[in-house]
Amino acid sequence: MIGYRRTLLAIMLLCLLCVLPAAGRREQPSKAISDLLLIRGTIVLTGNEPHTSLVIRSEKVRDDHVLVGEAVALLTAYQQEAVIVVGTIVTAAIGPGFPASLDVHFFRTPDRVWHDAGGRVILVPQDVASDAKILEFLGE
Amino acid sequence: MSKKSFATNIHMILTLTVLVLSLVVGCDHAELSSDLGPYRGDVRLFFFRASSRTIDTDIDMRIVSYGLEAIGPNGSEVSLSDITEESVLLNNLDVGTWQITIDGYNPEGIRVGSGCVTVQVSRGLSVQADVHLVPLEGEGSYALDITWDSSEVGDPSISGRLFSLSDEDSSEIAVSFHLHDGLATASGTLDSGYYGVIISLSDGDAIIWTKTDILRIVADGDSAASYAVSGSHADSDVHPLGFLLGFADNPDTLFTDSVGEIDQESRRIRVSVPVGTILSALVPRFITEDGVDLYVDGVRQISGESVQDFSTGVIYGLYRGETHLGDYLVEVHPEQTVLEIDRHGAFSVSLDFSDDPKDVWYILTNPSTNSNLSVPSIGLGAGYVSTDRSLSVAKAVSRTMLPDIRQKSGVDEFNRQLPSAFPARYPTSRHLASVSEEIRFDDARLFSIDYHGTNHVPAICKKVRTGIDTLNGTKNLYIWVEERSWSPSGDRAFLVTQQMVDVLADKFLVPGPANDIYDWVTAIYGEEWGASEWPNLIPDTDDIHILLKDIDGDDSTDGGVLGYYWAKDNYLASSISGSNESLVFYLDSVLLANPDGTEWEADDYWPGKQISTLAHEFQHMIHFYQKNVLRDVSSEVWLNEMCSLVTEDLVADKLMLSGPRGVPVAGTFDYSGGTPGLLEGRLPLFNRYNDQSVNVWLSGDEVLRSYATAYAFGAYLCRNHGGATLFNAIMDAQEGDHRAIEAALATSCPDLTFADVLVDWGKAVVLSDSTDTEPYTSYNNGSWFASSQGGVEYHVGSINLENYSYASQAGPHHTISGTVGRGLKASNAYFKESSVVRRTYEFSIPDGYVMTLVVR
Repeated sequence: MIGYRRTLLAIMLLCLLCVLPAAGRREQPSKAISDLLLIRGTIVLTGNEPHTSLVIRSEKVRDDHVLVGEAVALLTAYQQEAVIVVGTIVTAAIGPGFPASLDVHFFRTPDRVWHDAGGRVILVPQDVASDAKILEFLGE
Repeated sequence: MSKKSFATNIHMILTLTVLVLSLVVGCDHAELSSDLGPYRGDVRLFFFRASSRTIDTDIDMRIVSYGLEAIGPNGSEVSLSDITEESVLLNNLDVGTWQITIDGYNPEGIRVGSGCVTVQVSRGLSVQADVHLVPLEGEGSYALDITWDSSEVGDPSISGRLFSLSDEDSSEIAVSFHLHDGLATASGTLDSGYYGVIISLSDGDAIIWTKTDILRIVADGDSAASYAVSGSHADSDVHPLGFLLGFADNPDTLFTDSVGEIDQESRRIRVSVPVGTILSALVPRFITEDGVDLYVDGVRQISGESVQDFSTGVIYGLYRGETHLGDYLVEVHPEQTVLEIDRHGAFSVSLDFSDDPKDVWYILTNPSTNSNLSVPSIGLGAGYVSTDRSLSVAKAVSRTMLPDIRQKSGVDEFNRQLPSAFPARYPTSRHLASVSEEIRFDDARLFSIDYHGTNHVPAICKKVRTGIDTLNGTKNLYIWVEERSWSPSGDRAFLVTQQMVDVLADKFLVPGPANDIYDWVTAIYGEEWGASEWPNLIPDTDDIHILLKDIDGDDSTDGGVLGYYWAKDNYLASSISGSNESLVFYLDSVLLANPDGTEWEADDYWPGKQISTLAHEFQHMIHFYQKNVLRDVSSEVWLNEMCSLVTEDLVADKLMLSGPRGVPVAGTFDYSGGTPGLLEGRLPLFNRYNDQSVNVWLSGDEVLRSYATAYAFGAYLCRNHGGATLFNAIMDAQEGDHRAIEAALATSCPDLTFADVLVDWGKAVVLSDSTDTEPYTSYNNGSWFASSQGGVEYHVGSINLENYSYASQAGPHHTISGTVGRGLKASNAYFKESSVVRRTYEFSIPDGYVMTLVVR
């Protein structure tokens, strides 16, 4: 657990201190931090069977990111709900139906609990990287 | 009063029970059977009598004693008299059918009511039955007279009218008065029952006095009333300003507020409440002008405090001080069979259907598209249910009944490893779009079957159909068959023949307007492909390709994946290496070639499914272009699949296929809701899992539940909001989620929200066995639902969900007590109790729900 906390702390500090221009083919609703991206949006399943994609959809500019990695199975349960994901872009957007894909490292569920990609709960020190600061970072 | 003799072997036990007003006529029936015990049984009868109100009749209608006559098997008879309690126990009756008649007598011993019941006595068991006593039918007479001071009324005229309070037909009957000096009289005969009477006395053109009253007519009785007009003239313009029966004042009786309709002309107030509402003790809330009070039977009424029995009409007199300003008749009608309820938290409400037991449904709608709610519960408090109570409750369901149809599941379907090196005669399928003019019959190609172009299948072109005029210009069709699926050289369980390919081509694209899947589906949704701003998409093309192959390589002959469309093929291979660079969709070859018997027919079970799948996958193809490419929105899976499933529905009759509705086609297309025992299509599974979220798409085996929910919801939309026209608008919307439906409805129903639609959908589910429902709540009109789009007429058949079975469960799943559903977002859950006589329901409804009561 300590290891995860340290990793998360590092990510949060990066989130708060090292804001870089967004990556991607269009304006991003999220803010890129080094190679990490923090996105707040709604989890939806798009496409048609069997080639569906679990995406996080930001309403600010109607942008999607396909979620990949271990966390996908967990995030599928949060369809239509607002979450925050932190991850790295692994493939760039191609065009319609094929947005950029994001390997999820951490995510925050609607109950404001943070998890690692495996779903384990991560404790976030309140004085360093509280939810409030993250939301402040997101402009909320 | 006729006296009856006692039967010595009968023991009578009298028990006081609650009196319940009843107006049912005829014999009830009670039955309970067992093979155990002696050849005798017991019957306990409960008596329910009509209201004892006596108004303006010379016969006292109060029932103070009962007489009983029972005729059983083999000439057995039992007689009892002078029963003064409200129930009686008959012991040791012979086993068999007993016809029991109960007569009610007033204090003078005159028979004033009667009822009967048929009871099946079983060995060693005690049967309980209700007997409803109603007034004797027949005609009675009435006489009315009004007197006034003739010196104060120079030009008198009088009018009167009657209307039945007992019958549904409350049309008015004119009363003819004979005028004398200061006196008006009227008389006549009427059928037994209660009547409202309104009398007005005028002086010239001015109404100076009105009277509203209730007249009771009993068989062979005389009813009379005299009214004296005195004091100052009535102010006929004064009326109640508002009249309300509110749930806050009647928390255990009413679900919602019911506002009375005030008719100043007839001086009546009409309040509509749900069927089953207990009317005997209601507290109304009312508003009057300052200084005006309401009185009933001389007692001043306090708004929100005074209790009244509204079992029949109640006369409210308006007074300003001592001055009588006139009367209003308040009638409360228990007539609502569908009611949306906006009460939350813990509360109880009692319903009474003593006169006619009913099925009671509660639909719990979570209208939120993004939040689950705590699970609601409905408990069964005090009550009574008829002995014919339905046992068709949810039971354990065998998973082996899962329908075997899906369009594709899982993500590993293309992991089958094929040789990486193919014979040189197979070019890859890339650039098919741009070289279509070169494709000839028996040409061979390799089709990529994964994203990265690692795996391929060799296929041969077995149909080339070019230059077909359509509304979207000239189109070309190419049907390819993978080698291992082609007859006779292939190695699959069933092999594709030229006949099958020809049939498929004829179903999909033939010359002529509005005569094939291409025309029918594009008329709804638009063209499948065209120009775009994306340089990495394939260019505009008029070529459509269908690849027949054994999807998954499973050689399955009885289910699995029927077909799919994958948008990767719409990209240039320079962007997606596994693209076939063409408009292509895929159908399972083994299932297409699987005949019912030895000879393959296009309308055999699996071939028919595959033809329907053509329409399904073609919608996906169009959807990608219209939504993703042209409108830059990626639809959510449930919306996309819903459109495909409804597309199958819309073309089912044109293809003479049962489609997802699952009503068999035998010679002619059956547009009715079918007959009980339907097992095909998507709706059996919906019946089992009808509390699923509409806008959440499940995975694995559970994906079939999502298909079922998507079709059930789409079929509802199609039948209530414009059919093909609505789905055209859904595609035309800029959104790819539930807002696309709201946008599509904006023209016809601008105020309708997705939440409203969910609530109405729940009602339609419960009412689907009815062909006569309120607007927007119909699955079933007994025939087809018609719509028109793009110059094409569409007809979809009715749906009666009661006819669909899943394992041992027939009809929609429902709970009978306790928790209801799972609180899932954008979902409905159902509670049902059958044949309810009386019941107190104990609710625990979290905030956010909309609850709907449906009484059947």
